[in-house]
Amino acid sequence: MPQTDTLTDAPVEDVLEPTPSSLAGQLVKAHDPRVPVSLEQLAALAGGLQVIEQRATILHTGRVKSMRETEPEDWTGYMRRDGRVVCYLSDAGCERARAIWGINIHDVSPAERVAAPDGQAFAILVRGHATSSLTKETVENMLGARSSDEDFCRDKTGVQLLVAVEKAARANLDGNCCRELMGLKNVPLETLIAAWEGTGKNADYITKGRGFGTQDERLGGTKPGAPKVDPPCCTVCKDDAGNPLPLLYRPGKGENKAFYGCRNWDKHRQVKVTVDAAAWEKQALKAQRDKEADAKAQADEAARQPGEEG
Amino acid sequence: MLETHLSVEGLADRITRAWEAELLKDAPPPGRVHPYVYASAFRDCTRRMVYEMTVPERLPVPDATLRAKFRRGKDRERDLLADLVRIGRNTEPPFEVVGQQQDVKVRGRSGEVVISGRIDALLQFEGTRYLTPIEVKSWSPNIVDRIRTFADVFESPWTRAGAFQLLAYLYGHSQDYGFLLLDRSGLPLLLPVQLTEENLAHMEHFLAKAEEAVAHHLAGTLPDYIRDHVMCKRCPFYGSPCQPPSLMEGAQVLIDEALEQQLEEWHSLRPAGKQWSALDRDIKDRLRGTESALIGHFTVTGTWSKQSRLEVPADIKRQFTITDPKGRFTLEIERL
Repeated sequence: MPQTDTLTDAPVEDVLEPTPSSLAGQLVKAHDPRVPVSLEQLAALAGGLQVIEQRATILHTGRVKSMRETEPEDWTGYMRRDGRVVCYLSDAGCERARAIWGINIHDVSPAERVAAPDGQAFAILVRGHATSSLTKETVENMLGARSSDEDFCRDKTGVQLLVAVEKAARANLDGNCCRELMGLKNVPLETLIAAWEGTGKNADYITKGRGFGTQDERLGGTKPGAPKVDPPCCTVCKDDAGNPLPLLYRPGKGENKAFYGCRNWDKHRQVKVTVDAAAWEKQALKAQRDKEADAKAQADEAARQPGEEG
Repeated sequence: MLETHLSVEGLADRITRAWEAELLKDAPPPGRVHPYVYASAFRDCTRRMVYEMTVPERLPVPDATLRAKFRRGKDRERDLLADLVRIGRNTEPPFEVVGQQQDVKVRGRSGEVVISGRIDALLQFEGTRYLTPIEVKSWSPNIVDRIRTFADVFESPWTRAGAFQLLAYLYGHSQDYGFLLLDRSGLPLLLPVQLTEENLAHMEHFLAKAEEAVAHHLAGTLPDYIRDHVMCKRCPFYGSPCQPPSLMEGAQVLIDEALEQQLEEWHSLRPAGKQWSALDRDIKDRLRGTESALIGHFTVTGTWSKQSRLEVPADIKRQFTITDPKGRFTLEIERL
């Protein structure tokens, strides 16, 4: 957990002392989020609430700015059970975002190799401390770790394999320190979209992670076995535009038949919305055939010349 | 029609992959530990120089694309040297191209070799025993286009090592001048290089770093970190085995209510300001040359007056141009 360190780098004159002769000056200094200040000290100052608001504004501005420095491809979105998406910033994205926070990573340990139980694979661990010069927050004994059996190590052997894992572990340490100090570990998608307003950055290009289905589905495919018809819609849930949300296909398991269910089912437990998948498919295909037959009949009618009736 | 089960795209893909395999086939062995600095290996970070001497096997293995670039570079160097052989006969004074890939060793104060390299070629002009070193480089056209003089070669981190390399050859051969030949799409750029006081100072700097690197190599120690985040991130040894601190300055926090209010006002007036500027430009463009006019409630009065400008030949202009690396300050203000 990030710790606020009030005992280290701040020079003596930056620390607040509640003496009457310097209250005005101290109030100004207190706005700076780098100046350590306690609630008791704030309470002693007349504009304590304003100080908190000002500090929060500065930190919010920094956070939005650092999100704007990132690209959609720097983020991976994870869908929770309630349908909300939270996003995780990659190590590469942290490099783009960190400048404003003045993140200093120091006292980095040499890489430590840990063998896997199978004796083939290994992990590399790197530890370090980090400080933000903007907030004066410090994190200690952060860990960066990567393993030789990850995807990026495919086709690598010998020294090149070791080098790849060591570099990745260091990048992971740097990323972990930055994410912790910038508060960009689990960012709601809506927050990102709001931060990117006016930049042209498109949230559709965020990498889809867990909760978005199989790899194929994440790339636009459907669940295997899903009927090739449009799904039914929920009678309760609507999207931002007011359109009913489509139900999700759930394959059958054991004796339970396949069905369509709402992704936000736990928000309206009293109104259960489920549709038998086989029955829906039959109904949808029949409706499709009827529609095609009607369209054909109308086309034939339009094409018939005068005098051809009967 | 193709008489194969593959599409034309499939064939192109197969050929490309075979090409990659061909380039990767004869991979050079990993670098060997060496007790001196290569002449082409000047680095701003002395620690990196030591790593290149002691753990060269940790350097990344070039992929097929990089190998192709190296190969093109070597081919161009060979072609340019072949051209020089012919050109030498027609130049006044004529010269011969001799001593290709000759070894050069530079010794430090201790007498040990601290820098070692191979000169691309030496030019021997008619009537002199003096051998003029020439180094050929095939850098990216985007980089070469910005180079006019030898001093410009020091500006870019991608070319700086090449400048020090030629200086090392001049110094090692005790020669006053040489040439740096840069390949480009048109006529190659031949830069004359002299061991001026300034260039000697550069060479002394390289020599001092090389001596320090060799001393650390012999002692089994390492120099201090360079403490430059940008340089560290570009280094192939970052994270393996080098674990430098990663230091960044961060934003200042300005507590100034009056300035903040001014910024709010500036921001709110900006759209109107832009609109006014655009109108102003358009109106003045349309009315340029109109000396007297009436339009609605407005009168227009225009006056011609003298304006002087300098027309200076480009080479004179260049001669007197001074570039201040911090001469221009651009502000971008964004309301979030």
